[in-house]
Amino acid sequence: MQVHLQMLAFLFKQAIKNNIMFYRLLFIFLFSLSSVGISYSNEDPWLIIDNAAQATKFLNYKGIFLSQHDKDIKSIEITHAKINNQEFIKMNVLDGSPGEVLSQGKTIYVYNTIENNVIIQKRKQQRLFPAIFPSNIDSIKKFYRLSVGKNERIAGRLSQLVVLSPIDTFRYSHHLWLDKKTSLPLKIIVADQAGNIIEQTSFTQISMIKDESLDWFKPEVDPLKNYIFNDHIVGHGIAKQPFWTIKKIPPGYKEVDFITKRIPGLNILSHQLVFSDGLSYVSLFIKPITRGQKPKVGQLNLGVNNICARYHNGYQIMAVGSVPLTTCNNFSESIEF
Amino acid sequence: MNEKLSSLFDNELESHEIDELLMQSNKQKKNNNWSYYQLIRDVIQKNHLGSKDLTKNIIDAIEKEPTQLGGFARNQDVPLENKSNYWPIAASFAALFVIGLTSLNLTEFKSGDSVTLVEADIPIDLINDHYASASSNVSLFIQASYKK
Repeated sequence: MQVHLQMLAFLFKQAIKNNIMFYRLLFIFLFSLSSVGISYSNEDPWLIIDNAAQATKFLNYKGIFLSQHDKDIKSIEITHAKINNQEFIKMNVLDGSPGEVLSQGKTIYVYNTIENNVIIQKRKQQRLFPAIFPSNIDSIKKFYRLSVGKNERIAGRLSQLVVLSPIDTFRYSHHLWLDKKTSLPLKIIVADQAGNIIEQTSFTQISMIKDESLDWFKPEVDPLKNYIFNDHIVGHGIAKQPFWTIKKIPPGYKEVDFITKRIPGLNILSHQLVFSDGLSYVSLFIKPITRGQKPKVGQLNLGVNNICARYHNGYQIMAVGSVPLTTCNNFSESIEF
Repeated sequence: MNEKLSSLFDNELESHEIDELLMQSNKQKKNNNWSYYQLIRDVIQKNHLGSKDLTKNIIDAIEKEPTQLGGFARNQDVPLENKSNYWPIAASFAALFVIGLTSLNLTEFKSGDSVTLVEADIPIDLINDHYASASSNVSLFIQASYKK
C-alpha cells in the first residue's frame, strides 16, 4: 500500500509539472484502483468466515475428501443439497468398514457396519466437515485472530488460505482453504503452537451440482447384512440434575451439550458435559468409582486427544479433547461438589 | 333435597312441590338416591317382592365359595382400602435396597489410593462418547457406536 501511495504522489507531481494528459489519465486510473482496494480492506474481514459458513449450508455439491486423524486416513464421499429450504446430506466412508450418514434437516441417521450387522442409529446433529462453523461466529471472533494467506489450488480449484490463530494458549490454530468462487472450505488443518499437525481434512475432488433430484438420498443397502434399527438417543429421557458446579474454565468455552447415561448393571449415572469455543471441543466426564476400581489421576496424550484424570469425592473426573494440555487440565480441575 | 325426596315417598308433598322436586332431582342426577328411596319405600310398605330366584342365587353363590380352613375373617380385619397403606412401607424397603446396592457398588477412596493414568485405563467407550458428541471427523462420528 505504501509503494502504491508513493507512486500516486509521484504521478500527481508529474501531472502538475508536465501537465500532460497521459499522466492525468494514469493518475485517475490508479486512484480509482486504490479506492477499490481501500474500500475492500475496510470491510469486516470476518465476513470471509461468515460466507464460508453460509456456503456449507446453501450450496449443492458433491465430492470426495480425505480425513486424517492421528495415523488413520479415510476417504469420504459427500453429497450436499439445499432443496426447498431443507438441507440433505449424505456421507459415505469409502475406506475400510462401510459407514454412512444420512441427514435431512435436523434428523440424522448413522449406518454403521459391524461385521454382518448394520446398526442404524438416530444421532444428535454435529458439525461435520466441511460444515465446521457454529451458527454464531462471535465466540470465534473473540478468541482467534484472522489473517489471510496466499492463494492455492485445492482439488483443482483456486482457494484462499485463511488462518485463525488463537489469542491464548487454550486452543489450537485452524488453517482454512476457502474456495475463491464459492467460499466453501476445501481444506482444513488444525495445528498446535509448535506447528505440528493435529488433524487435517482436504477435498481431492469437488463439483457443484445443479440437478435438484434426490435420487441419491438413500442408504447403500447390502442384502447380505442384518439391519438393526436402534432408535435410542443416549441421554434422552434422563433429566439433567447437576450436583456439581463449574468453577473456572478456559475463556471462550461454553457448555454446548450434556449427556447422562445409566451404567448397565449398576444403578448409577455417568455424566458427560461437552464444551466448545466454536471450533475446539472438550468432553468432561463425571463417573462414580465402582467397587473394584481404583481412581486414576494424571494426564495422557492419546493420538490427537489429551486426557486429564482426577479423583474427587467418590467420582472419577476425566477431560478428553483435541485441545492443548493446559485446557484439558483446566477442565478436569474445574468441577466442584 | 334428601328430606324432600323422603317426604315425596311418604306422600307428604303438594303437587307443585313434587314438580319442583323432580326437576331438581333430574338436574342434580340423584338417580342413585331415587332408586334407594324407592326400594326403602317398597320394603317399608311391604310391597317389595325381591327377585324370584334370589334364594337360589344365594345358595349357588355359597356353594361356589372355596372351603375355608383357617377360620373366618373378623370385623376388625383390615378393610381392602387400607391395603394401600403397605405401599409406602414397600417403597421405603425398595429405596433402601437400591441405596444399599448402590453403596455396595461404590467405594470410598482416600487420595493415596489413586493410581497414575495410563493408556490401558482409557475405556474405548469414553473416547467414542467424545467422538459421538464432539468430532468434526465423520468417520470417527460413525464408528462411535453408542451402547444402550
